[in-house]
Amino acid sequence: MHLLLSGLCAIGFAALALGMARHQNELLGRPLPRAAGLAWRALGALALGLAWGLAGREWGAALGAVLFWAHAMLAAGLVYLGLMVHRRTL
Amino acid sequence: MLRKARRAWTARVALAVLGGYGLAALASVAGLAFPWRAIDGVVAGMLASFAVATAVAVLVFAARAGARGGVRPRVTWLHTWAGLLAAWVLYAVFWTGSLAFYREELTAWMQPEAPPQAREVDVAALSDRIAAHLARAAPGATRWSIELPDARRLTPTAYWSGPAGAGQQAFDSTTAAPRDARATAGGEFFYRFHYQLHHVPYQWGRWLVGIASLLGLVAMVSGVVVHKKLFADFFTFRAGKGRRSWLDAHNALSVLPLPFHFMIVYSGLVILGFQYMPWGALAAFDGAGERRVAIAAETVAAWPVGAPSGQAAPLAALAPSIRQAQARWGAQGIDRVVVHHPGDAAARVLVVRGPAGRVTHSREFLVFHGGSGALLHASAPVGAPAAVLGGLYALHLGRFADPVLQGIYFLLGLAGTAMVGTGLVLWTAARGPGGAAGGVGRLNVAVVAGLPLASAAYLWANRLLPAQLPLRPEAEIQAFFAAWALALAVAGLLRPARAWPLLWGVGALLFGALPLLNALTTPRPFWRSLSSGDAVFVGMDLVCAALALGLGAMAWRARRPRERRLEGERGA
Repeated sequence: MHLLLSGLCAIGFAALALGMARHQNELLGRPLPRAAGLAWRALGALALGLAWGLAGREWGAALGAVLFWAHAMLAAGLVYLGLMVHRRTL
Repeated sequence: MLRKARRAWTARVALAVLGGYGLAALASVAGLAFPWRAIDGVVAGMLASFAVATAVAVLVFAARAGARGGVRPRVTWLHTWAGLLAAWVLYAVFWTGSLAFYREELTAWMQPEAPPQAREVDVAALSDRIAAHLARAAPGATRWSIELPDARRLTPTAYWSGPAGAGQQAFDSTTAAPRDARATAGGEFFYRFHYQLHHVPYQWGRWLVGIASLLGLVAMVSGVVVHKKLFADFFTFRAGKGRRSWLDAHNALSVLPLPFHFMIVYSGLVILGFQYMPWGALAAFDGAGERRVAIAAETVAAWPVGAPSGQAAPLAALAPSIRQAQARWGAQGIDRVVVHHPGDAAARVLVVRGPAGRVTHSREFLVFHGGSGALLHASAPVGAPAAVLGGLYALHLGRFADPVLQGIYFLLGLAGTAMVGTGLVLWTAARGPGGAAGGVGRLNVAVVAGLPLASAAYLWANRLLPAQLPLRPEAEIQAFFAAWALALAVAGLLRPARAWPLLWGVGALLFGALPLLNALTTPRPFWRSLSSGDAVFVGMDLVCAALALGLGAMAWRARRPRERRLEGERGA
C-alpha cells in the first residue's frame, strides 16, 4: 500500500510537471499544445486525488490524510530530484 | 533622509514585535468571550494567538503606510532577518528533533548489552510483573507510573515517587527483569535538546526555542509571500550557478515539504503554548493551583485521587483492568498504567490510552478501584479546542507512525534542517566574500557543519567511554559539546573555505566509521544484526552510512568554492 501510494503520488507530480511549459521544454524540447498541458495537469490532479482516496480507505480519514501528505511531499521531492538528474545528464 | 528611513524601519520592527505579541496576547484572552467552557476559551485563544502574532508581524511589513517602494522588498527584509535571527537555534532544533523521531531506537542502540526487545508483548501480564518488582524495590512510594511497550516504545519503564524520593527503572519487555545495561543519555538527549536546549535553565531554553519557532513561522509566511512564482518554480533547479543554485535548493527544500514545516513549527509552539501565551489562562482562573488543575484536567490524564486512607489493602492484579482497556482501544492501545497509593485501601489505578492507530494525543483513560479492580470512571471526551490541540500534538510527535511513515518524518525533518542551513548560506553568499568570512559566516560553519559532527561524537562517546564510568550520561553529553566547541574553534581559526570541507569531512568520517566502531566494541556487528533480524542495529548502521555519504558529498562540493563560483558565473 505504501508503494502504491508513493507511485501514484510520483506519477501525479510528474504529470503536473509535464503540464508546465518550463518542464515541457526541458523534457521534450518543445512546449506542448495548451490542451495537452491541461490534460497532463488533470491527470496529475487525478492521480493525487486517487492516492488520497485510497489512503483514506486503507487507514481511515485522519491517518489516511497524514499518510497521503507524507507520501505526496516525498514524491514531490523525488520528482524534483529526477528532473535535476535529467538536467545534469543532458 | 537616511535617518528618517531608518526610523521608519525601527518603527516597523517595534510595531511587529510589540504589536504581534500584544495582539496575540489579546487573542489568547478573546477566546473567553465565546459562550463555551472557560477551558475551551483558554485553549482556543492559545491556539489562535500564534497565528495572530505571525499575521501581525507580516502585515506590519506588508503595509504601505509611511513607506516608499513595493511590498516585496519590505517582506523580503522581514524574511531575511527573522530567518537569520531564528536560524542557528532552529537549525539545531530541526536536526535534533529529526533524530528524536528515533529516540527509542537510539537509546536501544546505545545500550548494546541489552538484548533486542520484542515489539509485541502481553502488556497486561508484563505490568503485573513490573508492579511486583516495584512493591519490593520502592516500598512507601505513593505513585507508580509504568510506561508499557507498544509499536513504537521498545522498553517498558517505571517511574515512582513518594516521601522517600523518586526513581525510575527500565525493564526488559520479555523477562520483566530490570534492564541491565550501561547508563546512557540515549536518544532522550536529542529529544530534550530539541525543545529546551542544554546548559541553560530549561525554562530559558524553552523560551529561546519558542522565540526561534515564532520567528521561523514569520520567516515561512513571509517567504511564501515574497516567492514570486510558488507553483511555476515548483520543480526548478539551476545547477552550477553559484548563488542561484543555493536559492533554488533553499526554495525546493522550503516549498516541497511546506505543509510539514508549517505543521511541525506551529504544533511545536502550541505544545508549549501555555508557557508562551499564559494570558488566557491567567484571565480565566484564579491562582496558579486552579490554573494548573484546569489545564491538566483537559489536556493530560489526571484524576483527583485524594489522600490515602492509612489502611493497608493489597493491590488487585492490574492485568484484568488493562484487558478491559485493550478491549476498547486495541491490544497495542495502552500507553501507561498509573497506580496511586499502592498498598492502601484508597488505591486507584489509571489506564491511559496511547498513540497507536489514532491521530490525536487527547487524553483518554479509565480509572479502576485499586483493591477490587472495579471500573470507577471513564474519561469524558475533551472539548473541541483541546481536540485540535491533541491532534497537533500527535502530528508533531508522529507516534502513530508505522516504520515507513516514521522514515518519511525523519527525511522531512532533515529537509527542514537543510532548509534552514541553505538559508544561512544564502545570507552570507548575498554579502560577498566579506559576508562569508565574517562572524556570521564563521558561525554558520560551526553550527551547520559542526552539529552533525558533534552528534556523531556523542555516539562515539557512547561506545568508547568505560561502561562503569560514574555520571556516564553526562560524560556523553559533554563529548557532544566538546566536539561542537572544537568545531567552533576550527571555524574561528580557519578561513570558511577551508573550514567547510574540513568539518563536513570529519563529520562524514565519524558517521562512516560508526558501524566499524560498533562491530569492534560490541558483539553486534552489521552482519550478525542482519542475520538475526535486529532491525534497530541494522537500521542504525545503514543510516550512519547514508549520513556519511551525505556529509561526504557536502565536503566534496565545498572543497574549492572559488573555482566553482567562477564556473557558475561562466555558466550564467
